[in-house]
Amino acid sequence: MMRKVLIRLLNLVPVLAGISFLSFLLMRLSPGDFLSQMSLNPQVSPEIIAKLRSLYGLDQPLPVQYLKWVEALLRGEFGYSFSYHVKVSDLILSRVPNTLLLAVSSVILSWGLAIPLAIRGAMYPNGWIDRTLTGMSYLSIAIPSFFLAILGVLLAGETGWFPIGGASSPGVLGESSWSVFLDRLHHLILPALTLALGSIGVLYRLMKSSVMEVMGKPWMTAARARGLSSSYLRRRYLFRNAVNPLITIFGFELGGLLSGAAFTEMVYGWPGMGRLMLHAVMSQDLYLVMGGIMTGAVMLLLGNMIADAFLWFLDPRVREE
Amino acid sequence: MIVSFPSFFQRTVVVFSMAILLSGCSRGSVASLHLAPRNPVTGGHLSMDILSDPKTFNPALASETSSTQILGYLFRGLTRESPEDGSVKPDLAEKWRISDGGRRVTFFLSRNLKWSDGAPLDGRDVLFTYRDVYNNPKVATPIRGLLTVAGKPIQVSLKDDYTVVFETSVPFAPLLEELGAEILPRHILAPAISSGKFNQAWSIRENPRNIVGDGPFMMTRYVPGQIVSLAVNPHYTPPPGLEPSPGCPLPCLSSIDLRIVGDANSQLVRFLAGKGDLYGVSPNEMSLLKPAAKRAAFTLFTRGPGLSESFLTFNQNPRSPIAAYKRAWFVSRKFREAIAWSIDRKAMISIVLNGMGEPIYGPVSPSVRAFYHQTYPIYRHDPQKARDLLIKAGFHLERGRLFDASGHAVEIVLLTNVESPQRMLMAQIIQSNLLDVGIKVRVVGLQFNMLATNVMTSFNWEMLLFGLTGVTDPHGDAAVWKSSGFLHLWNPREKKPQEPWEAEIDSLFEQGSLEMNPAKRKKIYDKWQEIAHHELPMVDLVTPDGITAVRKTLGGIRPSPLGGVVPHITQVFQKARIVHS
Repeated sequence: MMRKVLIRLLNLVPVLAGISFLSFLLMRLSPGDFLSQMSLNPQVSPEIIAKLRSLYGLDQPLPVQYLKWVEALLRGEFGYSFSYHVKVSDLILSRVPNTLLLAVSSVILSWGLAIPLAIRGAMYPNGWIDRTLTGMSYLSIAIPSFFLAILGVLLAGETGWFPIGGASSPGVLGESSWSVFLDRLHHLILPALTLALGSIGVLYRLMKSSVMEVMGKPWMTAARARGLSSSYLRRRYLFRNAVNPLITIFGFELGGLLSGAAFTEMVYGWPGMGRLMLHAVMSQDLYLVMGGIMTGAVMLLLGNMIADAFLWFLDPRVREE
Repeated sequence: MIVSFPSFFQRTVVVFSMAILLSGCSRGSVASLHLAPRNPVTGGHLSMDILSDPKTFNPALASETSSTQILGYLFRGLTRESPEDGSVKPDLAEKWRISDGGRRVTFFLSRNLKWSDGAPLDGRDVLFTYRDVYNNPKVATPIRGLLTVAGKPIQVSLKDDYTVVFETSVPFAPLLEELGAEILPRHILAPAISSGKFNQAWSIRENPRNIVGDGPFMMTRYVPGQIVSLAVNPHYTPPPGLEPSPGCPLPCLSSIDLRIVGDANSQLVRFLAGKGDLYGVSPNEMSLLKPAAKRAAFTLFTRGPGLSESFLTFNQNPRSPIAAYKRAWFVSRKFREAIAWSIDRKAMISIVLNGMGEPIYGPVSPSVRAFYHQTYPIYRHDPQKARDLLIKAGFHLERGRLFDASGHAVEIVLLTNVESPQRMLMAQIIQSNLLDVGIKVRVVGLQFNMLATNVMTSFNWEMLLFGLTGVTDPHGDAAVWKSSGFLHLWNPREKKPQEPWEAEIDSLFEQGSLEMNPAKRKKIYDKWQEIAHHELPMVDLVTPDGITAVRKTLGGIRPSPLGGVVPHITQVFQKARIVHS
């Protein structure tokens, strides 16, 4: 067991090296760099840009830049952001808690709703509940998240029920922790709902078909024929057998925790990773983008590992292989 | 990890769906905002939304508006620019004397100036700022280029604690305007210079209260991605000649909140819901905002034509890889003039700018009254005149298509940057205008950096639709208009001027920067505008009117052509507040 985990962890090294090299290559091969935006400004002469370029180390050959970056990475440093003149790790760490708060609450919402509803839907397929939910899940799959987010902002603007934008009210800092908590929750509801509604459809459909498949299995019929009650079967066997495909999805969701909410964050003005990274990509802030990509990649790989570990834990068939 | 979808598509979808939704929702279902007057008006609060986080709090390193907008409240320079006409006014320096034929400018600082921490501000800070920061090769500042005259850095010295002398090797007329750069506190930043850590100093990780400035406000709080809060600087001394609003000190407001809301649509919804006092309106939002003005208690102010304009230019560069016969069209003055007559600027304004813009026929915006010169003829939309000119220039029409003397069909690739939906729309209008005179145009939208590479490095382009950062002093455009300039787009960095009129413009810009007498200086730049208007290396198109929605809670709004609706934040006051009934 420990050996397996170690091998998996060691396997991550070449994968991460590959991801980092390819991303670095793509960033550097795309036309221009962080300073190109200044090149069409009459107030900034090419001589100044050249000086800045050497100050930032952008005039060195690609392999040298990459190796320097890797060397810094091995020392645990992501480098400095060009536009902020601040350590990349500081920037990312300052945004991670907000993004995690949003992503985790949306995952709890969507999974907490989708799984019980899917089991219910599979029990009575084509009943009115299932038909309503199936229709809604099509909508949830079809509507892009940024559009749903705009609808949310409009709802907030028209009704005044929810704050628009940000993660807390300007005046609330410095008040009691209870009102700070309530204020955060108030700001969180709409973005978290938006994200959850976007993924609930897929989860519902997957879980429902998986449950129905398990229910049609010959061993289910056999168990029922031997007199085991439906509710006992449901509690003891159904869920554990049906949940396998969802665990793989769960792995991906873990991986996407930091990056999956980008559009929603943009529209709601949620101060998370999404906006930071979008601006970084658009301004070609090389080391900030690399820091973001590496964090995302590590999260994805770890997410998959955790999902595999769950499967191993839940499913004896996987263990025996 | 982030997929950026085409912003043009997104904006179109969004504006369209918002129009439907808002027109559906705003019928009576939403409560109007009620205002209660404030008396006295002193000590008010202002809040507005900004699009992105500041990148740095260090004025020497700041290069984009998300930082400079905030720093503008916290710092000031020796001089400032009049928002009315672009002339130079005193700020930290109460007066100055020009001597030695324009080679020496002596600034006399106001006495009793203080930094926001109470420390005295004097000439030593000015010397530190210019000598140790802006002219320091180790500092990553884009300002240094401005402070080089005839290839040599400007010399700064102290006569006494309140008298600073700037010396140049040749007279340099735009010097006064360029010395508006922010002065930095020596007592705080000198250690960062001597330890070589200046490029990391005053980053956004710095405690906002440690940013010591000399502007009307100081920072009290910065929460990344959420808010920047400012409070009045108790040690602020207003510049000489700045009139306070009635019943107000300078500044009148006591605090400002800048909320960071990254999405323009969310900002719009927030403003309509009563959040924030100022909102910069883009032309396609006018139809949403106009009907809501009464309910949401705001007024739309227009400051008139601004500095940003768009133009068409043609590749005349012999070093470029484009076909020689095509370059021959672009070098022909008559051809360029024909293009100028073909463009329907009125259509551009009504389609692209929703009627909120002005046609532009020359390189200086009419709002820069200190330098604008009216030139004739005015290139109105006249396709017949354009066709006549083209035929005079040796072209001929066959079944509605234009051919040159050697039989090449006139087909042109028009390049523009794809990030700007407005420019993409303008390109389509140009395409159809030129088709009317028989010219077939293919529009290619490129991502900004690709465009810059094509135009500046490989010279692989034919016709370009673009806009440059506007400036008030014409000398700021020297890089564009001098034949040796790096942004002389149609033929950059010429060894010697290719055309006689280019040589003439070169000498005018030379004279313009040496002439210290404003009236004589204007004459020089008038001549330049006449040549530019006649030769048309750039065909100027339109400029948008700056429109700002201002909540009726604010007073002291003074729309000005160059400073927007709030040319000086100190004059603004809060005359009412919103009451929630």
